[in-house]
Amino acid sequence: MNNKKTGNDSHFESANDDAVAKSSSAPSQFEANSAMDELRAMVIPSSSLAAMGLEAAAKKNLPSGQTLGDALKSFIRQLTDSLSQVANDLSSLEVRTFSSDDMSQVHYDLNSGKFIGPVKPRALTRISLDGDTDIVVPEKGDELDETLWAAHVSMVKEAQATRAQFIGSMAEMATRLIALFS
Amino acid sequence: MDQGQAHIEQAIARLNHFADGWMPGEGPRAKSLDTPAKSPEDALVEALERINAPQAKGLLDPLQSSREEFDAFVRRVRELVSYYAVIETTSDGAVIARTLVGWTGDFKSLWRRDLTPEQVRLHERNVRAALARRAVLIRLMSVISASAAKIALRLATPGAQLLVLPALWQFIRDVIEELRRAEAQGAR
Repeated sequence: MNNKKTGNDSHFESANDDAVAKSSSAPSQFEANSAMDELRAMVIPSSSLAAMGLEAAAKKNLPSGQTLGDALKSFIRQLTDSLSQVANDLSSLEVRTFSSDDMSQVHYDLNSGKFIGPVKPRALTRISLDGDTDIVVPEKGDELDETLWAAHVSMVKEAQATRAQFIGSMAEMATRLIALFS
Repeated sequence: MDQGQAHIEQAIARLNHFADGWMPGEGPRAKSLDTPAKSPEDALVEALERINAPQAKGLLDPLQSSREEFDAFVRRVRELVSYYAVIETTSDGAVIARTLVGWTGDFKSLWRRDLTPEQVRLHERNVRAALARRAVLIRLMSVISASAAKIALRLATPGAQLLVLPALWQFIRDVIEELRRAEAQGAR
């Protein structure tokens, strides 16, 4: 069923992105090694972390002085906690689209889970587990242009395509790590 | 899949093969590419035999840098658990889009006003490629963990799994470097 609704900006309340605050980042040794170009290409660029306001939070929980065993056990706890949280939050998939006239003035606030700065919420798609879909777009007078709508639709498709694989691979990694210590 | 990911996939396949077949005291079963240098499998066998030796503790220095790199790798993977992906696309030096992908697979995207369809496609490709890379990274962590567990069961050293992990990381590195060398030679 496809249920299209219209609404205004109030539909774009913050999502629960508290998990961001648990991030960690320590690129120095890893990025300094030129032999690891392929692997390095896979990590989040630190400039993006800074732009998104994630870097400070990343450093907050940076494990320092931990042994590898401690770090892995701590990682397993983090993984299992996150998987438990995900299990309670799988009832729907949300894709939100915003636009800005000045991207350089926008950062992501970890606590509120919102983009802060000159941004406008433009579209929200929520797909429920039973397949019901809610689409929220701006009210008349603040119309969504076709290109941005196409951008939103492309992200919806990507989210649908990757979600199952993503959660499955995280669960598998947790299983393998737990087996390592059992 | 880009070349870097293809190299990692090949390294993963060789690690799986090695972990399934190797026993202490045996040589490697997988054959390396045609190169006069010591193969990654040979180097891994040597590292594992050192770990398995009673006096192993004092002989692990060769793996020190691998251990530090593996620590950094673990921290990177932990980042993915905290926030799966932050993907930014720039065009002509200006940011055109940023997408955050959260743990539940939800997407939040911020786009520049006055987008062109080409810019949308560019970011779309960027997002897809970034997510594919993260999937490979997670798979690599899974395979290294599983291989360490398998190999540690065959070793006499208590807590061997933690000693094996950097050796497996070094193996992945060695295979990737070997593949790059082979490609460089082939291109000449």
